[in-house]
This record gives sequence, structure tokens and C-alpha cells, in this order.
Amino acid sequence: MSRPVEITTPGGLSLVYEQARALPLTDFVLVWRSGAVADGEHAGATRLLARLLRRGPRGLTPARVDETLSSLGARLSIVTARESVRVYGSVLARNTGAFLSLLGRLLCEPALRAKDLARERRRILGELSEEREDDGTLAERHHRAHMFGTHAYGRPIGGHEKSVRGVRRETLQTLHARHYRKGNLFFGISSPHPSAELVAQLDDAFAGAPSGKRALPRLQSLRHRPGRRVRIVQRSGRNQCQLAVGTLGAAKGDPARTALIVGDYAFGGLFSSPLVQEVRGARGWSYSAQSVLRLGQARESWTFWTHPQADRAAACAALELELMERLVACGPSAEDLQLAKRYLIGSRALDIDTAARRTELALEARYEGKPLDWPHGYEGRIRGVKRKAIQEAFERCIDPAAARITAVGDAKLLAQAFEKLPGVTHVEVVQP
Amino acid sequence: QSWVGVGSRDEEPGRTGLAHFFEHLMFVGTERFPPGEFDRELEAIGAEFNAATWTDWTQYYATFRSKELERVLELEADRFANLALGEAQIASEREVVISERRDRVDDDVNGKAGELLFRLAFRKHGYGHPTIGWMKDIRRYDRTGCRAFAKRHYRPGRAALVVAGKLDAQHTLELVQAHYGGLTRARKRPRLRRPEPAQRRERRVTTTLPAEAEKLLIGYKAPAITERDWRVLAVAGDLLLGGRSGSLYRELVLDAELATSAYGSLTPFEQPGLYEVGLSMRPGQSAETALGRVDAAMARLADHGPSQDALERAKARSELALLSSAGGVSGRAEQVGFDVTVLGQPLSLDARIDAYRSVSATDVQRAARAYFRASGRSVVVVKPEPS
Repeated sequence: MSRPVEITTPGGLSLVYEQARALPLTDFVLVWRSGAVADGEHAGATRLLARLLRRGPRGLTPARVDETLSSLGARLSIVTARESVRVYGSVLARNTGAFLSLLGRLLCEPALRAKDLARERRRILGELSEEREDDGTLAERHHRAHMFGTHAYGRPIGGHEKSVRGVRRETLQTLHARHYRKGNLFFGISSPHPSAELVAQLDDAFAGAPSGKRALPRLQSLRHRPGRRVRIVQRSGRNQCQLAVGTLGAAKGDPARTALIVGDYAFGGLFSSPLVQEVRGARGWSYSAQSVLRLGQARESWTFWTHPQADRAAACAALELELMERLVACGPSAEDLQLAKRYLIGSRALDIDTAARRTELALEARYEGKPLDWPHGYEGRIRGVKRKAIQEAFERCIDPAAARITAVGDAKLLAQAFEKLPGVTHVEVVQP
Repeated sequence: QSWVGVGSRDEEPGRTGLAHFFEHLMFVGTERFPPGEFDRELEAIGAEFNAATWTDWTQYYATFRSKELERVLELEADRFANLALGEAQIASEREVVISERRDRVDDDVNGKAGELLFRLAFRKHGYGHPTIGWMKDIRRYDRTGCRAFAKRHYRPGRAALVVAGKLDAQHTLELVQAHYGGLTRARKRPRLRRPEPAQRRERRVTTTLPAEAEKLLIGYKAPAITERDWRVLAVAGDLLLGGRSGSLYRELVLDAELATSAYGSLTPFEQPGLYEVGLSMRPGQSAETALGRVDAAMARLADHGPSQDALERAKARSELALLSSAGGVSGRAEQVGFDVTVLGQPLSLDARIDAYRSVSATDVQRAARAYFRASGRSVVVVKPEPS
């Protein structure tokens, strides 16, 4: 199996590249050090900027951009995450040069036209309104606000109506100038074309990117606040509720990062794991049940997601809290741990079965400041995790007594039962 | 991957959702691998696995390292032959499916609107009821019904096994023979036939749901995927709503700013299905106005056909989509499984790309005239509940 290589181009760009001969297709990814944490007081500004980049550079209308991409047989998406912006593209290999050239113009010379800003703003406001229809999206948004409050992690990536209305063209120009720098751009390409050809095309396309780099704002790490708090997001006429039970978790740089990842899988990442077995297998309470461990630059979260019937929601939350307490006190069972490790090691083959996937993994490592071959040490790191290390990591990072519970559903059916949950100090009902 | 030629279109009234429910039951265990053991065994080898059911088929898939093939075949063959259906598992799985239905349909505006559209468009054919089934039917599932379903539909003549990856073909066939060779050949029973009578007038329903703005769903009667016109209509649909350069998408979402989102989707069904158009209106915008724009755009395509540039762009997008889906081993296996189950034989990637390349502007114009007709469509208008 071939492996990605790292190239610093003569123009000073960082590229991870692997030649891929299986299909006449070029896959492209750019991880840009930016993201919603850079929004400051203008929640949603980075996402709005990403949308406007897609609308074209000076001298090219949005319609022309879309038509050009289509005629090249290309797909392009710009995704704003919390701590990065990711540009994904695929193009028929014969059109790779033209695609890179267009992409360079989109990112280096954005027009950021006032007319386009007004249009995108109206569109995002429509989408924010539509998001209120979806209980899962509402649960995610409210749970983050419940957990993180005014911290940058508590702000929605897309912003909210007031903040989006307040974003000015100058805000976007400043954001672009501050973060769009060569040292903040990490390119990954898998393609049938040889690297020399791509390097020349990439340098040519991105020659206009200013040099230098800019770190993301340093985020404060939150501490647990004691007491279990419940937030009910009122939705009348619902048969069931979207339920999130979680606590603050850990940062990417936590020394026990691998132990936490393995522990999360052992607890709620597999069909056979205790969370899924207890909630879905034994009781049939929720079609889906899973735990999600997020790791950020600062301390992130650990959350269990289920959607039980309203009259079982409090019982489901109680069961999840009990399982959380047990994990923190005792760690996973030897059997659950063994299974999670075997799964994580065995399934790795599926993460590296195409050049595009291998390239993205290597690129991710570089973005995090790790060596290019960091992904190759994966199996050894997983194998080395001990049960005791997991228990200690969860005991240090997770506090079940400070859990935050968010339920989207009918408060009339939910509130009383949640008030009776052990350790609950506060129940509030909010509007979506 | 195991593909079984049974889906929700094969279900009798009163027993809707049984194909999907049985898909869930295929994970409950056998005498040899008691409940939970199947999942544990696959997870222990690092397999990604799950299943899916739609109108024409049920698919079970597992992706894993090649060296684990024999273990997977052993597990897969065992559950196809020796599934143990206990009352307790059926009761628990019934609750899970009720929860799934609530999540995806009853508490979901788009899920509910989609269900309404298909019910409106298909009055007799099995495509008219939801794959997950009506709630009243789900509540009635029992062991006898499930066993009868399995006996009728889970037969060797109805199933296809697809193995893709870096493998020795001869050795793989020997392994398949070793694990599946004990199955007895069964007579292939014909599938339930309930042809949909021709639709001669537009059908329309207006409903109120907990939405933030109006929604519009339109279903135009469309050809089966086995017909050449299916690909022609796919190109026509792509010209209108294939991403941001689709003319109708651009008009409704980007230029006139009537809708927040718009999609077009052609059902890949073995029998005649729908070309579905879905719009989420911006707050305060009316679905009725958007319908007028949809009509005008379709009339333009039917009257003048596409420009050569637009057609070439649509073909380039199709080529990209086909190449992208062939990138991983599971995508390739899925394509073969679908082809064998629905089309009767696998198609090569080149043949697939050539089929799109051969579509002409005249073809598109003819298909737009034939299928984008008001008399052959069903329309669902969703109005927000008063706050």
C-alpha cells in the first residue's frame, strides 16, 4: 500500500500528497486554521465568510462559478467547523489544473460583494428558521448552550438570528485577512497526476495567499459546576423527546486522549456496548443510542444521545446517569474493553482503504502538529490502553454529579419526572 | 453484502413494514449465535455492518479485512438459515421500530410530508405505503407473521451474495459453497403484482404541520430504472435541480430567493416510480408561487430542450458522481448488489458512464414532455401550524 508524502512547495505551501491511480479522479481537501471559535462576538461570521467565498472572486459571478465547476465535473464544499474550515473538492482528473486555478481565485481574491452578503444573510436566516423544525438539530444547539453557556463552544457555528444580522462586510474582510495565510493552510491531494505537476499548479493557483500564520484564539477551559441541571426545550405535540445527557469532557491535548477514545467506544460506540444494550437492546426505548466524545483545543464534551418516548424520558436519563456513574467508578468491564480495542484496531483498515482517506488522515495529523506518520502508530496506541487508565481518565474528566441534561419535547409531559431525578438541582423550560 | 429481492412493495395491506421489521430481526440471533453474539462477533473483527430496506430490496452489508471473510460468511449463512425468532426479541424490536418511526416520520415534518406524497401518488401499488410501515401495522407484528414472511421471501432464488475486495476468486467460491451449499434450491415465487392504474389528473393535498414555513412536494410519475428513459429523466432532473447550477435551483433558491432549499430526486425503483421535487420555502413565501415557477421551468425544458452547454455540464456531474461512488470497496459491492437485484445483471462503470453520455438534448426534451406533466403529478403543500 502506498503512503502519503509531505511536500513543502517552492511557494511555501504545505501539501500532503498520494498518487492514486485507481480512478481518473482527483480528491482535494484543504484544512484551514480558522473556524467558528474565531467568530468572537459575531457568532456565525466564519460560516458566512465561507458561504461568500463560494460566491466568487472579483470578476466572476456566482452563477459563472457554479457553471464552471459543473463543466469541469467538479464538486466543491466549504464546511465550517468549530476549530477549522474545511474545503472538500473532487474533480475529473483531466480537469485538475483548471479546478485548482478556480479554487485559488475563490479563496485568494474573494469579492465579498455587499449584494452577495445580503443574499447569503437572508438565506442563512431562512435556514436558521427551518432548523427549528428539526428536534435533533434543536437538541444539539441547546445542549451546547446548556453545557458551555457563553464560552465559544456554546455558540452555534451558524450563529443566531441577531448575530447573523449584525455581521458587516468589514467583519468578513478582517476575518479573511487575519486567518487566510499560507501558514494556516494545509493541503491534501490524491490524484493520478504526479506530484511535480500538482505542486506547480498549486503554487500558481495560491500564489496570491499572503504569507505568515495566525493562531486561533486561545480558549479558556471550563470547570464542572456541581449539580445536575435540566433544560427542556418546549415542543408541543411531540410523541417522544430528543434527549442529551452529558458533561464536560477533555481537550485534544489530554495525555489520556487514547484511553478516553477507547473508553467511549467501550461504553457507547458499538451495538454491543452497554449504553446501546441497556437502552435499545434490553428495553427497546430508543432506536438510536450512542455516546459522543468530542475533543477540542480546550475541554470539550461527552454526551449520550437517545430519543425515548416522552413518558420514559426521565427513566432513560436516570439509567444513562447510572451507567455513567458506574463507568467513572469502575471503568469498562474487561470484556467491553477488549471488544472496543479489537473493533478499533480491526476497523482501521476501512479508514485507510483509499488514497483519499489516507491523505486526509495524514493531513489531520499535520494540522494537529503531529508527525506525518502519526496514523501508523494508531494500532500500538490502542493496544496499549489499560482498563485502569480509562477509569482514571474518566474519573478525572467526567463528573456525573455535574451532568447537563437537555430534552426537546413537551414540557407538560417531561418536567415533573425530570425534577425527581436524583441530584437534579434545577429544571428550566425554554422556547426553541 | 447480502441482497434479498423483497421490500415494502411486496407487503399486503395490514402487514406494512414487515420487510423492514424482518431486517431488524435478522440481527437477533440463532441457536448457534445467541442474541447479541452476531453483533459482538462482527465488532470483534472490526467490521462496519448494518442493513437497509426500501421498496424493492433488503440489503445487509459488512465491510471488513479480507482475511476475515470466512468468519463473516459463516455468520451470514447461519442467520439466513437458522434465525431464532423469540417472542421477547420480537417485542423488544417492535418497540425499537416504533421509536424509529416516531423519530423519522411522526415527529419529523419532512418525513411526514414525504409519506403523504407517496400515499397520494400510489393508490394501489405497494410503493404507496411507507417502508417503515403504518404504526397500527407495526404494533401487530407477531412471530407467526414474521415466520410466514421469511418462508415466503427469504429463499435462495431471491437472494444475491456479493463479495468484493482483494480476494482469490476460486478460494472465495469454495468458501461460499462450504457455507451456503447446504441450502436447498427453492422455487422462485412471483412477486406480488399490484399495477398502479394510469393517473389522468393532478392529485393535490394541503396539510398543516408544525413547520416554520411552507413546503412543497411534487411527485411526477416516472419510468422504472430498467427503462432507458430513466437515465434520460435523471439528466433532465439534474439540469433543473442538480446542485447550484441546476436552472430551477438557481432560480428558486439563489435568484428569486423563494426557497431555502430545493432538491430533485428520481426514485431508483424496479417499477415505475416518481421524480420528486421538494422545496422548503423561506418564511413568508408561498408554495403556490413556487409551483408556478416549477411549471414554467419544466415547460421551458419541454418546449426548447436544454442548451448543449447545460447538457454537457449535467453529464460531467453524472460522470463525477459515478466515479466517486466507485472509490471504495463497499460502494462497488453496493452497486453490483443493486444491479443484480433490481436490473438483473451487473453493469460496468464504463457502461454506466456511457449510458449518461449517450443522452441527447432531443432525448431530454422528449422526456420532459412525457413525464413533467401536471396531469401525472401529485402535489403536497405543507402549511405551518398557526403559532
